[in-house]
Amino acid sequence: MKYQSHTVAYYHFVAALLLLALQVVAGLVIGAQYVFPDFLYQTLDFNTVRTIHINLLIVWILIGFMGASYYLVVEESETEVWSPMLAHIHLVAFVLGGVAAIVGYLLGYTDGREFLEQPFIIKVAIALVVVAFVVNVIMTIIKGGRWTSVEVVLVLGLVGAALFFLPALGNHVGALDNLSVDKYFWWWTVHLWVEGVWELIMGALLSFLLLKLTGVDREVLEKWLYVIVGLVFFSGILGTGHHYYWEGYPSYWLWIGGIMSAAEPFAFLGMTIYAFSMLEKAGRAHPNRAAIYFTLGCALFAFLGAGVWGLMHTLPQVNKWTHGSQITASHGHLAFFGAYAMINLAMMTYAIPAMQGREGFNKRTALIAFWLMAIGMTDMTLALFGAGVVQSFMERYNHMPFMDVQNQMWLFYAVRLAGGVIFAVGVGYFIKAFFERGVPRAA
Amino acid sequence: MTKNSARNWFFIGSFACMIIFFGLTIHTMTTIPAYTNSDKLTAEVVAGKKVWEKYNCVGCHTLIGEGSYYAPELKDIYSQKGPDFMRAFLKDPVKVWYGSAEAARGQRKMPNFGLSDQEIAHLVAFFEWVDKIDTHNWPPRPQHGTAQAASAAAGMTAADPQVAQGEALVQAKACTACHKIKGVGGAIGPDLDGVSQRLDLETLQQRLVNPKAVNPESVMPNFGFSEPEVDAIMAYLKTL
Repeated sequence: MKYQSHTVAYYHFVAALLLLALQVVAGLVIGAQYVFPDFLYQTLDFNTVRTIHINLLIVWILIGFMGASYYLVVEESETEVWSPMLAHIHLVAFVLGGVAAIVGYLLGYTDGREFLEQPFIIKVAIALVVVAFVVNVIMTIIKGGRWTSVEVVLVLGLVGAALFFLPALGNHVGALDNLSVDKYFWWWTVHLWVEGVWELIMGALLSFLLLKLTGVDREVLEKWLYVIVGLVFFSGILGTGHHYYWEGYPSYWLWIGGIMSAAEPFAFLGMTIYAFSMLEKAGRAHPNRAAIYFTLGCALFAFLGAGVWGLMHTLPQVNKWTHGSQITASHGHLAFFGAYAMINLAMMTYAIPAMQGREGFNKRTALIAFWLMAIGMTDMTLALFGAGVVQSFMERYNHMPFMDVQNQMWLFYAVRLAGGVIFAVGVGYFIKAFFERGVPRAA
Repeated sequence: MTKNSARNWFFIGSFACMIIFFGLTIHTMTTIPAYTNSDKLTAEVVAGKKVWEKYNCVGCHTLIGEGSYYAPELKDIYSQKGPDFMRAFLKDPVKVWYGSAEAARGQRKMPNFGLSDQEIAHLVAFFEWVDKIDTHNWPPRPQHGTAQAASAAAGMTAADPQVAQGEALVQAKACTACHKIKGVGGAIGPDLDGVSQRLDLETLQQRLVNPKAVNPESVMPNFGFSEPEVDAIMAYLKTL
């Protein structure tokens, strides 16, 4: 390894990957419960496992971002991490906090606000971890003595993520006793993370990968980075309105949310065109083919999942019928996989072999992993989409009772479970590729 | 466009969007009391929200469309099913919905959380409050006018005032939460179409006065109907 502190990134990636594996196991359990409702009924009920599934998603994505950020700033600033010790400490603290939260859910300790179910004390611990991490990243860049544009966008994203976590801490504030007020600020964390600041992080990581994989001119690349994250971020901030349609707020949100969030796909389309055209420009193929697959896969699936699948139900005229149906689950799966899972997997696929001084992972294993995950996720997305269309039409439009409709959707859920199994095998292959060539060691 | 102008565009645009967003937030906060009837936000309602959170209800249900999609939307559960049904259901979900654990085998069902009567009362108060949040008519439900038109089309004779009173009571008590009328409604209780021909009228009347008098196992709540009300409902049921 060129830099000793790449081990910091390595351990973050290992932790992220193991949590991903657990997330997929939890997903298989709830996927199975849709098909076999007696499975673990009153033992490990759907609500608990669903909470675990999504909490693990958030934690592994964040830990992946942390590892990727450490890798990126070390490379960009050409210096060692300011405090590798601090990085190791906050990684251990984060993993322990996550495990404590999950054990708590199993024992029935929950704050019961969707995605933010972590008990208050754990939220405080997470906030401290994030502060330690952001400080470490910024100090490393300052130590390196220069701020590249990629680093500027990355740090804005990280600081933004820390700031927008603050409303999540306020779950004992009296004003949130009003459900509508509660939901308003709950979205500040939930939406402004995934459709706001996380996209800055993703944009920075994607640009870094394109720089490394294509060798295109940095000036050109960084210019387009600003244009694209600008589009994404503007539409994302006021696009928060698309969550404010039906929650007891003025009707201007129907206009603002509809128009601004309808612009989001263009931002994502821009990002996809950006990635593909940069690779085209490079004109030469980087030997790490798997990393190119995951990078382009990220851009493409983010466009489909967050852009197209989001646009389909973002206008109030459509959302009135689809809101709260499996359409949302379909969109959520594809968008998170495309934008945030894939960017992390792409960073790992590029960084681990680079640390080892190799061309890439075992190409066969890594590409099998890529295709199985892509196919499994496409299967799940389409199955849930079909379920969502049926549900919107029969339940919302024709006013049939919820369970009468659900009982007719067995086949969709069975197909989704099959997709989940395919995806899980893909994750297994990715873990194999990750560890197949041993641990990176200091040269 | 140079890199610097792209960067300035990004910073100025982000800042401007944030300012607009914060401005709208302040305005929205001033309107929420009216949209949500915050004067009716009693201590009981707040306690109900805590119960909702304590049992991680959002892990299966959606509430105003947000949450999980494993169990029904609950925004207007209060007006759809009514408090009596909710209390009975929350006490023993499987029994009320499916009749028995046997019948529920292989079916999706709510776990029994062993809620106390007080927790149930708080939850019902919470849902009653949530029901009245002005959500621009979400979730979409059939308009009253349309339902009347449908009744007229089905040849319903509301000319008799006693029948009309009975029909109004059936609607007010949300009988279709459990029973089907003209093919619409729940599957917990028996179908009410032709019920006056299936059962002898005396038994039917007794069930309306006190459901448990005929069948001690019945989960149907005692609505405490007065004698004229029972007569009106009987008159309506005879038209089905």
